[in-house]
Amino acid sequence: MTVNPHTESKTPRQHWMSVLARASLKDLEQAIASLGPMPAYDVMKPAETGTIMLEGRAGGAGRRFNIGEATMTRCVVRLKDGTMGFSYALGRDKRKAQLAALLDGMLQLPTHAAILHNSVIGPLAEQQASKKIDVSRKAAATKVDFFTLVRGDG
Amino acid sequence: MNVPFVMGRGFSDPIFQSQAIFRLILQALSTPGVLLRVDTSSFEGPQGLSSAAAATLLALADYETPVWLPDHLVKGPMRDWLVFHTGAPISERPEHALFAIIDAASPDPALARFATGEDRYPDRSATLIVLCPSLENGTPLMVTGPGIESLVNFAPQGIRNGFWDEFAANHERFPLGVDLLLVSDDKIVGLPRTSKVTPLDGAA
Repeated sequence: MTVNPHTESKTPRQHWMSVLARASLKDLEQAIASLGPMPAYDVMKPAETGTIMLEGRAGGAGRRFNIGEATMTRCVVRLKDGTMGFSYALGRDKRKAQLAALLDGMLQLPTHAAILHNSVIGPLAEQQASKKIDVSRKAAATKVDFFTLVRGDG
Repeated sequence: MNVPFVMGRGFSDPIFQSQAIFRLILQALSTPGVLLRVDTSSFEGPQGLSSAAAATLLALADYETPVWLPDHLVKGPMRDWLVFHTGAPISERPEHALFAIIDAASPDPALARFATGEDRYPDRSATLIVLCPSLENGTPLMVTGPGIESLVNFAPQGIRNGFWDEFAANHERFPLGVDLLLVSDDKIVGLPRTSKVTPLDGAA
């Protein structure tokens, strides 16, 4: 996965949506169980699975090209006051997409935002960051530096 | 967060519900002039719009079908609703649209402004959803043509003057031409380009 050069300029909503997208279903189920009663909501677009085209840049800086397609699932819900919650996540987990959309909707409500940030988004973001460091450490430990000796062709 | 309006719910079961509406539109276009009812319980359309018109666009429009809307709908919640649910681009010019909603009473735009297809691709034509105050008890029309065994009587209300002359000119251009879906509330009547419509003036 390439590092997003714009990570620092993400809006708060982009941040929490990406945390929710990376979370596992188990994480989200646990988070919701710990929150107590959830607000009522309607499903606007039922969770559906499709593919998105992934783009990359050679070396992270070259021209854009299509790497390939990835499976993803999206869902849109509407809370009672009309607030819309969206989610897009890799994979085909429809239940997770719906829960993530619900949480996205609730995070936009001033009444729920603070508690959700403290009890769900914060811990999940930390957990995901430390996992990422772990993975990159393991990858760095197996790094091999290739070099070629200049052949003495005379 | 400021929510300008409450977005209506889309199909809860998009595959079967959109196919059911597709089937009904097929039925409407293959039995011209016959009044059918759309099951509109499966979604919430934008406020103030005929639910049959909303159902038609929800089932047929997508990101490849530019839709033209009259001014009052472009400015209202209809635009956001359509873009959110179908991803269809809103066409600024009638001639670029594949679907359009028009008001039966409004003189503009004329039928001739919409895409009629090309000789090699007569299917590249627009389907117009015509908003009528009612599809019953108006000026009686005699409809003949393919799909009609002898003749059908149909009496929509609030159709502008000269509309049926324009539709006759459209009929003359066959195989080119636009197809009409007249709607009011949850009722829909198909009038494809093959239908010949003769107003029975004075009979009302």
